[in-house]
Amino acid sequence: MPHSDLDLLLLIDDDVIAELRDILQEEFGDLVQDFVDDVPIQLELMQTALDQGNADGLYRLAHKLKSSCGSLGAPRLAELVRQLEQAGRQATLDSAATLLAQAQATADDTVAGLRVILQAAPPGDRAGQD
Amino acid sequence: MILTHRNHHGIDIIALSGRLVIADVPEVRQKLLATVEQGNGKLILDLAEVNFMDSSGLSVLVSAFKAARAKNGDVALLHLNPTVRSLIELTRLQQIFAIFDDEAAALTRLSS
Amino acid sequence: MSTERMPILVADDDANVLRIIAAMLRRWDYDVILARDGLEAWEILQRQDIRFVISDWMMPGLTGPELCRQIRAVSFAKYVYLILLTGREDKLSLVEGMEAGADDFLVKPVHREELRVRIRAGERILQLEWQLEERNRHLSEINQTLSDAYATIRHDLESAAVMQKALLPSPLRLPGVAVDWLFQPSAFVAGDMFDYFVLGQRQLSFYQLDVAGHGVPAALLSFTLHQVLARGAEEQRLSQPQSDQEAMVMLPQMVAALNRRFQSGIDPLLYFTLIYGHLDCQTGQVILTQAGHPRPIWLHRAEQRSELMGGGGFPVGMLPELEYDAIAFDLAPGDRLFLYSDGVTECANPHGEAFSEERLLRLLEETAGLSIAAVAAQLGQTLREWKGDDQHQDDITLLILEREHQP
Repeated sequence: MPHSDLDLLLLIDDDVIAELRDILQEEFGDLVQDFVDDVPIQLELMQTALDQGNADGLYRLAHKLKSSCGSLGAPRLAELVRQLEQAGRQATLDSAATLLAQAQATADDTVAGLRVILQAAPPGDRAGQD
Repeated sequence: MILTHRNHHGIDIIALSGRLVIADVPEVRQKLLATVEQGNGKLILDLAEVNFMDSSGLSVLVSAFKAARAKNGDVALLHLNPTVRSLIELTRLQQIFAIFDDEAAALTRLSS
Repeated sequence: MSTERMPILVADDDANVLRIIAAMLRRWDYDVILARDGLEAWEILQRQDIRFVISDWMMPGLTGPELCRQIRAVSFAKYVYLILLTGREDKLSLVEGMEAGADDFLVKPVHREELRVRIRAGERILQLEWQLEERNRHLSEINQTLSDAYATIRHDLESAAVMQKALLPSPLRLPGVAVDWLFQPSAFVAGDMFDYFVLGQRQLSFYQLDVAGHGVPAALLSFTLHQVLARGAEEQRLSQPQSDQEAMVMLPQMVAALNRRFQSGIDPLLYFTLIYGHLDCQTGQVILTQAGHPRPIWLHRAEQRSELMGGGGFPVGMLPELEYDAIAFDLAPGDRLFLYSDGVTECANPHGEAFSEERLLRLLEETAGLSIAAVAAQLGQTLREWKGDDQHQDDITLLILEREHQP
């Protein structure tokens, strides 16, 4: 997927966030917090795998992170991680390095966005305070 | 076993065809008894198309005869083939049933 | 299915996905059991009664399709419905999942409404499976009941058959006379019956009867008749021996008395055919009364010629107030008298053709040189071959009386 198309994907999908909030209720905060904490670790593990030339390790890590990203409403990061998964599977490590750098940047933005959501009161509560 | 039924001036004429053996007995007995019950007890059984009859089949004819007699009626047998005729004769039932080879004669007998 | 909350096992190595799906399922009031990978899921399935599994595809240890194969490989008591989650979209993986035995597939990330619809579809299928299982269980219970009942009936019938065989007399050899027979019930028990007994110094009484119909109802009457006739014979044994003239009168009177005693109504008509007779062992004179039974055969041994005897008579129990008569003839030394039930002459081959009087007469003439035991065996064999199997439609009886050459 070219960059321009990547940009079309939402950094954070508000509909998914709203659905998660509805589903998880009080657990929502924990889930997002865990994800926010976990993403940098996973990316770092991928970097290590890449440095070691471990294509399969990269593939597995990317696969797992991909479904988390999808489930937590981070489609742009999910797409990048999907491409990383593919690169790992095909062992095209040169393109993986570029993708990983891109993914790290996008992850930073995603995490920042999710932090904002975490700090904001849930829509229901906010309505209650009005 | 196939049965056809017609009525001629108050006399029921039932033609049976095929084999009259133990398996057919309930159906045929029911039909004959119902006919005697609903009619006036005068019954002609045309056996021209009956090619085989066993002793259970015989019992159906006798059941019809008993039912007809109970209504002061009678049963005549028409057109016996040699196999059926020899069974009737072995069991002496020609002394019970009037036996005819001619339907007109049977009708005359029963209408008297 | 019970109204309890249905347990659903969810297996995924991604804790986030697990958590989200678990939260959805709990909100829909399912009992959620979580497994962090395929192996844990497999362990749980073996311990607990779970019929619904949602499993991730790619998991370390045991993948989703592998878990699926293991579930299908062992036969759990109940059907397990399995949804595979897949991150991949290609059709090849779907085929692999189907081959592994998955019931349905969901592409990750899992959307709430889609999951809900798929679970409902699975529940409907489990409901049908459950109804099917219930029906099968019910059917197999009924089957069991039926086969138990059949076993009981079969056992009873076998006992009855043994009793009936025990009532039959043994082949007999008297000075001047020998008796043998063939008896083949079409079912366990027969409506055919026969017996013979020695009265006085020289008289052999014999009878053969055939209750209309066959199987149990016919056999019950034939058992009764055996008792009645045996008692009658006992009374005769105590009285003075009859002269020939007396026998000509007594035999028809005895049959007429039986006819009075065994009258049935119009429906169902239960009656029997009978031959009852005496044989003078010294003179060879036969006196017998016929009551609708097939005409006996007299084999003139010297000429190897057979003859159908008598003119018939009314069956017993059919109509009241009937009179019977008797016939008399003298067996020459070596002559034979055969009594048989209509199961012999009416025995049909696969084309529906009856064995017939003609064939019976010819067989009895052709076997004139054999012993009477061999004749009985020969008829049994011939009828088996004629019929094509052992499953006769009617009872088969042949009773043979032979006046032996004087020593």
